[in-house]
Amino acid sequence: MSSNTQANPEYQLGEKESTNYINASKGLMSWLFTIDHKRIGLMYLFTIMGTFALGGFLALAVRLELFTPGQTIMGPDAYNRVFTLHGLVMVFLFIIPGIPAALGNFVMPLMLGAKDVAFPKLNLASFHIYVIGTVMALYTTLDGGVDTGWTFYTPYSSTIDSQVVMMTMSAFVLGFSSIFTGLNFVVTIHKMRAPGMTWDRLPLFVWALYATAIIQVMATPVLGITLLLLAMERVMGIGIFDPALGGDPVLFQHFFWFYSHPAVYIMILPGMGVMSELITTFSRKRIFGYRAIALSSIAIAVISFLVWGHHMFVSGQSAYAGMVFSFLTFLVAIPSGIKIINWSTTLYKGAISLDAPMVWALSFLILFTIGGLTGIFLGALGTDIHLHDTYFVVAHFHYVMMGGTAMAFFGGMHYWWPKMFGKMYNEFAARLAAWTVFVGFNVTFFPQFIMGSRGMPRRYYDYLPESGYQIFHQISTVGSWILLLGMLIMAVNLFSSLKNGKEASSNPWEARSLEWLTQSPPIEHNFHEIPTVVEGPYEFPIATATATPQGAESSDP
Amino acid sequence: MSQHDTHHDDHGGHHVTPLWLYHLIFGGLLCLTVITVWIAQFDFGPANTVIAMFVATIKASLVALFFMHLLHDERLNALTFGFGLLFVCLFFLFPLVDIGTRTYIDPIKDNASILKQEKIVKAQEVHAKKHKKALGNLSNLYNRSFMNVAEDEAEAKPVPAATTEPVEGDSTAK
Amino acid sequence: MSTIITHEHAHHFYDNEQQASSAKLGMWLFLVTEVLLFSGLFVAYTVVKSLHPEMWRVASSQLDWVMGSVNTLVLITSSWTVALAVRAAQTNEKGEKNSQIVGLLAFTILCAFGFLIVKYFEYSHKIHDGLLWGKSYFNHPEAIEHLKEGIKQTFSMDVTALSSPEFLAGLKAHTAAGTHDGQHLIHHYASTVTYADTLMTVEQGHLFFGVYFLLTGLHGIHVVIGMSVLAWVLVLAQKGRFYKDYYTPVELGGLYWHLVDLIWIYLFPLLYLV
Ligand code: HEM
Ligand SMILES: [Cu+2]
Repeated sequence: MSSNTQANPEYQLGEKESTNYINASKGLMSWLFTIDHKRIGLMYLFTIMGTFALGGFLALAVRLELFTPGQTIMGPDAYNRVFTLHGLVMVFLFIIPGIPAALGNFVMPLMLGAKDVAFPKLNLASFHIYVIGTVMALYTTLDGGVDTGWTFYTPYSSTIDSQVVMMTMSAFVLGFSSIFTGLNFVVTIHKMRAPGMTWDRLPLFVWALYATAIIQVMATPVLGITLLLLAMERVMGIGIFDPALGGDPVLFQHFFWFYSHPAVYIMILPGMGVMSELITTFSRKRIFGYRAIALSSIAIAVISFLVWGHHMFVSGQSAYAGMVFSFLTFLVAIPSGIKIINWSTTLYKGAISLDAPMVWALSFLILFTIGGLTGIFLGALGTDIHLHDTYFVVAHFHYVMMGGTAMAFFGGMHYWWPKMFGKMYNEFAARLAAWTVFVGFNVTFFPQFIMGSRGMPRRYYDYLPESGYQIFHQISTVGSWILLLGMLIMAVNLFSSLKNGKEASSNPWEARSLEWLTQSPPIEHNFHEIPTVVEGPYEFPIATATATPQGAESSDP
Repeated sequence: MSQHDTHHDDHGGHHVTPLWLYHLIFGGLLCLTVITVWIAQFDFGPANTVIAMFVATIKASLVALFFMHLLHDERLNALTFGFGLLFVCLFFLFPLVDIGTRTYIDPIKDNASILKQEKIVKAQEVHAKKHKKALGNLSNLYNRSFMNVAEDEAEAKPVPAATTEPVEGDSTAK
Repeated sequence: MSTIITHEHAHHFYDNEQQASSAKLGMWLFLVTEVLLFSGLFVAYTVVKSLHPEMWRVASSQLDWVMGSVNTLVLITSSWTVALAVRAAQTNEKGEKNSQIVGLLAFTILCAFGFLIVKYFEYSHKIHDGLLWGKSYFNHPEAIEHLKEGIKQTFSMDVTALSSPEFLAGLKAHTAAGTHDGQHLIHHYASTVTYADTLMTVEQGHLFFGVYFLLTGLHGIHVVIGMSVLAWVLVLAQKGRFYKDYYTPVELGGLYWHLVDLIWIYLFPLLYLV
């Protein structure tokens, strides 16, 4: 194939076929037992929307309870269970599988020019396991739930009377799903690339998924053994984590954070990958520092294994270990900073169009920067003594997880929605939703920085009326309603587009990566002919929004 | 046409190890097992573990390199396994650094006299009581059984046992 | 690309070779996850051991190194035969019978059975002696006797005083109350620091056996899984499926079995010898 392949988006299409992966076969079973990565991606997408809604309602309940001091809508025991479940649902059911398993599954093989992931059946198994884990978690909730926080710290979790065993087993099962997805992605990226798709032509989203997959494979088994040990601690009374039996409770925290710190990069790295796609496409400019962004993903993946002790500064770990961990924590700032700077530089003098995905992307840029910078306060040994377990931490991780990953997730969803369903949503409503969420998010979480730095502890059901925290809590709760509004606008807009949306062209954003070469929605086997790749993914011809893509003679603006 | 990492001089996994090498490795593994059992009779103190791990690592390398073909397989597979072992090392490193250095910087242990310790404990108790009053029944932490045990003990003896252990230990020892 | 186009590979691969190489990379990644899973238990082992070194010495002397050694030999042998099975597949021509593969795999599975039988005897010994985990350990006075015997041998120390009825009653009372606080026992029932250490050792012996059962139990589960995988490969081999361009299942099953062996290579000295 000539160099025109990549340049002319219509090349592959010829006439649009009427059969595509959505209508190729019918019936519920054809979905539940499909091995098509696109269908599996969609099933993940819809399940994850459901779990996000569940987690969101729990969050609203938490916020409402804190609106006034004393009991507002639930008692302390219920409160503990609700925030625990909120954390568990958001972490294990929404954000970890979110971008890789839903968006990644759909897009990544297309981006590689492959017909599918390397192990389609494993992919399906991974989804089924995810559903089983979800059902177990929900069953446990109905069966009394747990109030340990999503962190399951011992000896509390190994001694109290609640459904800890069942809940840890559900997280254990979910871990398998995550491992299988990661394993599948690593192999796919190594072995399934189309001819000409060299490592330096991989879209940055794929690079990010690769780094994520490495963490999933290397860290998640440790979560597995941690939860298994916790269950054994309860069932058999092993005592490894129980000081009364001669064990060491801090060891549990080491185990837990060996997984869970890298896990926060499982959450954010795919979001960063989506960002790289959005920023370039909507700046109509080749990405600045391709190699630096790609390699910084790998650097983050590796460094993330060296810093977990920053969650344990006040746990009783040794002061030396604390100092080492504090120092190493600052290293993570370097690759993260590299990314932020490269994205900003890409924006600089780009022909920026503020389409809905780009609004989400810009939100990410701002919110993630705030979240990342506040992380520096927490990584510093001294300041963290004061800030640990306060609302400052809550605000920090929401700025990175929700302000970062969730924004990227929604941005990516809007970006690939036309490809997934072949429909365009209402652009105005989409932008409105994005802006509303941006405002609502800041109203919700910014006050939490202030009250946190003034000492409001996290996971507390109550605060004293004279403490001065109430006003911040109230602003935050009102913010959560604005957030809800934004989410509702987005949901209604997206779902109504499925019925009433305009037909989407194969490449509505004039992007340059391979997934836009096939029709929208794609045919069952992705491409009529495996494409041969002759240039990188971001070769925008000139920096204007109106330019039609031309041959390979791309030059920098 | 295929652009993937499978190409290798030995043509992928088709390298066939000669039979005699398999037998040799098997013999080597048997010998090393005998050696490690034999050497365990002697007590080298802390070096016991080091020696045993050294022998085990030789055995494991033989299995991985020859029986599992890492030596002649695609390099990527060996790289993957090696990378995994690197993370195992990290997993060992930090918890052990922590446990090994916990007693190094410990102002209470190093600087404070027993009297001072008692003062600190008293102050902590007063603080805890205040805290409890302020929170009332809000934090259900205080309803937990293991906390109650700790509290009961604290009431039975004004100073928790752990901190006074040296004192009592001395008196009962004689 | 490979010139041999056969129908073993799935539609989304170009050829057999891409599929085989993908499958093998996937298997190696999976093995890495297994190693990391076990590494958690090894870290727990190391940490608990470094917290209670004396206890560890005494308690580990209760294991039977002969049984451990026999099992090591059994596993190494099975590793060798499964490696030969893979080689047999590599050298088989298309259409040839797989009888050599079948024989070697059957022998390997037999070895796995042997391993499990030895484990069974070992476990029943420990259960009989009450050398168990957590509460079960405290419920068996004979376990405490065993540990005291171990102390006598390891440190050549007289521990007869520890057999006194008061000591046992006190130990029971404490374990029943759920506060296994070694310090208390020291004050009530011991008069010298050495005895105090001894008591601690006896009290915390359950940690060693907890770790022992976790490690060998998880490993045992892997033995069973490995056996089942090999049995499945054996069934395929009986149908004559494998030849020099297609033997991925034999190879992957073999890799898994070698991993089971690798883990035991470390388990054995750590538990039985040092
Ligand atoms: C991207 C989506 C989100 C993620 C990944 C997420 C994650 C988490 C996590 C991990 C926790 C800690 C739970 C614990 O410590 O046990 C938490 C707590 C909390 N989240 Fe979220 N959350 C998300 C969205 C939201 C939203 C939309 C709101 C508000 C409307 C919210 C409000 C809260 C509150 C109030 C807490 C409890 C803090 C505490 O009491 O310690 N979260 N969240
Ligand atoms: Cu962290």
